[in-house]
Amino acid sequence: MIPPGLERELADVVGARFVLTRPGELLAYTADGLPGYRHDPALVVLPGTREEAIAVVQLLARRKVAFVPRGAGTGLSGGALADGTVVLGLNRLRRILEIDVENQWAVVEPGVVNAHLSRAVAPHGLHYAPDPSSQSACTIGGNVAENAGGPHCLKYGVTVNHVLALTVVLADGTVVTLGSTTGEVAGYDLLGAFVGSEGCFGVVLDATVRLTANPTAVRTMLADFPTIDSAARATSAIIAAGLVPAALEMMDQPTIRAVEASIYAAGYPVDAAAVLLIELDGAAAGLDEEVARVAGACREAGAREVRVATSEADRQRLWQGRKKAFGAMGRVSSHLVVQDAVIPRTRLPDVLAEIGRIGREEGVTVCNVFHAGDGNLHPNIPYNGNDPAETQRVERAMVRIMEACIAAGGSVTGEHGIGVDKLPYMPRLFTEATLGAMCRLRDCFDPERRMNPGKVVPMRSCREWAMAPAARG
Amino acid sequence: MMTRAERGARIIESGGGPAVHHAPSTERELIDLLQGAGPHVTFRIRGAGTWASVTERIRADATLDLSRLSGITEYVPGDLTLTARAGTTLADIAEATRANGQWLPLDPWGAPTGTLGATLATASTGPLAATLGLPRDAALGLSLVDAAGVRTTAGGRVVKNVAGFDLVRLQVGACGTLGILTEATVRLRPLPAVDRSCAIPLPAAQSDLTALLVSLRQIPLSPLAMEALNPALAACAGLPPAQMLLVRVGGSHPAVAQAVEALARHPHTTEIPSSAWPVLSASEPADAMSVRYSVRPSQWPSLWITVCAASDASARVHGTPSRGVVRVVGPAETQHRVQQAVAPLGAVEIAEPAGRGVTGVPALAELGRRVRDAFDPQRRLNPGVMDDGRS
Repeated sequence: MIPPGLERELADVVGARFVLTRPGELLAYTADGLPGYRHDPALVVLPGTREEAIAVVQLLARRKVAFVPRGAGTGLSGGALADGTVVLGLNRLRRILEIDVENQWAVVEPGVVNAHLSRAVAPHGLHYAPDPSSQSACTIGGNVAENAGGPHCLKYGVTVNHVLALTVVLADGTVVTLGSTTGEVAGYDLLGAFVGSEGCFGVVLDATVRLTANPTAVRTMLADFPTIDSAARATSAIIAAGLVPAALEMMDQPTIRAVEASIYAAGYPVDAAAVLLIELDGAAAGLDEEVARVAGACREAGAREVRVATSEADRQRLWQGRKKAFGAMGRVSSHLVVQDAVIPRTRLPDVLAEIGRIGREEGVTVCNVFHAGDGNLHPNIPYNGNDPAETQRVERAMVRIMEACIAAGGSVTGEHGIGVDKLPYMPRLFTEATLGAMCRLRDCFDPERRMNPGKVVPMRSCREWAMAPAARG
Repeated sequence: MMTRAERGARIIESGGGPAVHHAPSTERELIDLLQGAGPHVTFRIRGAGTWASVTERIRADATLDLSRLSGITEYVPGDLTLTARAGTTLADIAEATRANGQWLPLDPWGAPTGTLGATLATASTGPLAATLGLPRDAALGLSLVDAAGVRTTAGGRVVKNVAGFDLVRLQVGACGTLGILTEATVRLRPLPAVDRSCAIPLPAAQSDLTALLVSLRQIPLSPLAMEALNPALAACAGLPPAQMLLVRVGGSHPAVAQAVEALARHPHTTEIPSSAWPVLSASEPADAMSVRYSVRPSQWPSLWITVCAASDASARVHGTPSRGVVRVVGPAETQHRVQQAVAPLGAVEIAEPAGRGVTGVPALAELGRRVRDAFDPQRRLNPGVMDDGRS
């Protein structure tokens, strides 16, 4: 799989300590956050500096070895898995290189943890807006690769809206800067094309990201609904009314109960069929009127109670339950499939009803905890992965849910990426001509197809893919 | 009805001669045109011709006029998304969405008869881009016909989507060189309940200008737009001919009232009608020659003062402090003088019309060349545009 002597050559670059080859060491790299996929890398190399990272990529280019860049491994699409090839771990590149308060940006290495950046700039009244639930562990480099989202992306936009420039090393070892700190560049928007390329276009060496001023005022509300349908209708009504919450999240009863039974208990009503966690922010003047309009829309849709967080601690507690919901589900069963799909927002009530029906028919428990305001669903199913019959039912339910979302005019991923998990759906969303265009774009960045081979676009869509040595692995 | 071969023949005959004008009214016609023409027949792509200077310099065998490929094809107000054909004008979209209290906040300089397709293809921006985003952020999905006459798509119709590589951002701003845009789905926003604007005189001294911008950050509501105008451009918008900063605030009644009150504390601030904005945009002549410069926002006051000092009184100069941008509309002599004056500031210079390729950074130029080769190897679409002059 990998050429003889590569291990020693890599050790010469990064030090023997940072080339992992023993099965025990590799174990942590065989999966990401999504159960069901296990790929064994041949080795893992962990450069400690930008220069080492470049040297490693150049060495792999000379030896024509395929490799997979990886951040914290919290991805949820099987994207950072390497099958018999090399994992390039970037966690050791974790310096914040510059914080420019006046211009509101920061330059960070790819291994900087998302939440650490926000913590570092907090004294300046700033934060980094994209806030995936895994933000206490996931890295900015990984966020860039996946074009990560999060609850507050409803108002503030996803990762691509916050990246000003990237210095990347391409598969052939060329270092190039995409974008600029001024936001203006000549030529094609290669920065925009790069963000979300799932490690197929290049390795981020540093990212210049926008910092966002903390809002003047924030109101966080919890609305409690007797049915999922009423919560879905309230969501559609809030969006249709022209209100723009900073976040609008939904959690259904199985999720609420999992959270309330965990150490992350947030005081959610366990008898509610669903709750909406809604945050409004902006100027203090007029904010309470908007809170009243949102509360009115919720009550009109059938909310039993709408309460507004009374203190910052109360607010943090409400958010903690939401952010740690996936973790809380871990207590329920040994395995959890966290899914991701997007539908038009007016279709929420009927698609959620359909998901409920699919869950009942397949005999699985679907826990919905998701970014309702964007129509970005996360139907999750806790299960026992050691039970083949149950695993099969879970897989079947997931396929049916994805099909329902496609049929509603949606997409199979809003923020988790295609990786390997969503590959089968790509031909359902795009024609062969479009998939071919994606392959051609990839080939511009990595003509030898050595970076993260076999991900994002089904291989057969890429003409002459069989000719690419990396893909044969 | 002509057959595909007949249509193709008509184009081929025109090869090398004076440009032939084609105005397909359906995507099918466009596909037939491209497939029927020989592989070496080149096309100049245009929308309504609002930005004539963008297309007129392109030398090609035939002109593809997409203005007839128009109309809104899907609009679900509750989803805040709209799908329209490329030739649909921004004015038509504004009218349809306004009825539902929504808007597409793309306000490129030029007449409102500019098309959606041209706005996205050229990634043209206006004052609203500073807060409401760039064309690349408004576009959710695209339909295209590629250089070989094959239909492809990019993105979808939902507001959040990471399925596959991002062909939407690749195509937006590609000036039609990677495919001809036929239809786009865009993200709409709710119209602010109240929308008010003020004009604040700009101080001449750099330190005063910096102090003004810092103090404006303290107003409790972030503005929808903040655009500096030189006297010539202010006059175009029907405002007194003086250097001024227009500040537009939108939102709920109490929030806007409080913000306008805060703005009014600056001496000589006057409230101006919201209609000044469209008048300002539409005042740009179709044959405008413009260059824009950008620096770090903190360097904007110095860029602004330098550019204004180097421009003659008739040149139109405007700038967006939060984006670090200053744009100059004026004849070549003015542009040359400004370029000389700005050089020491190290600003990024973008010559408009959009569509110049990368020069000076070999690795980036090489990537751009590969992209063009991958999507339009024969250089059939807008030849010469987005090229670095080497291919």
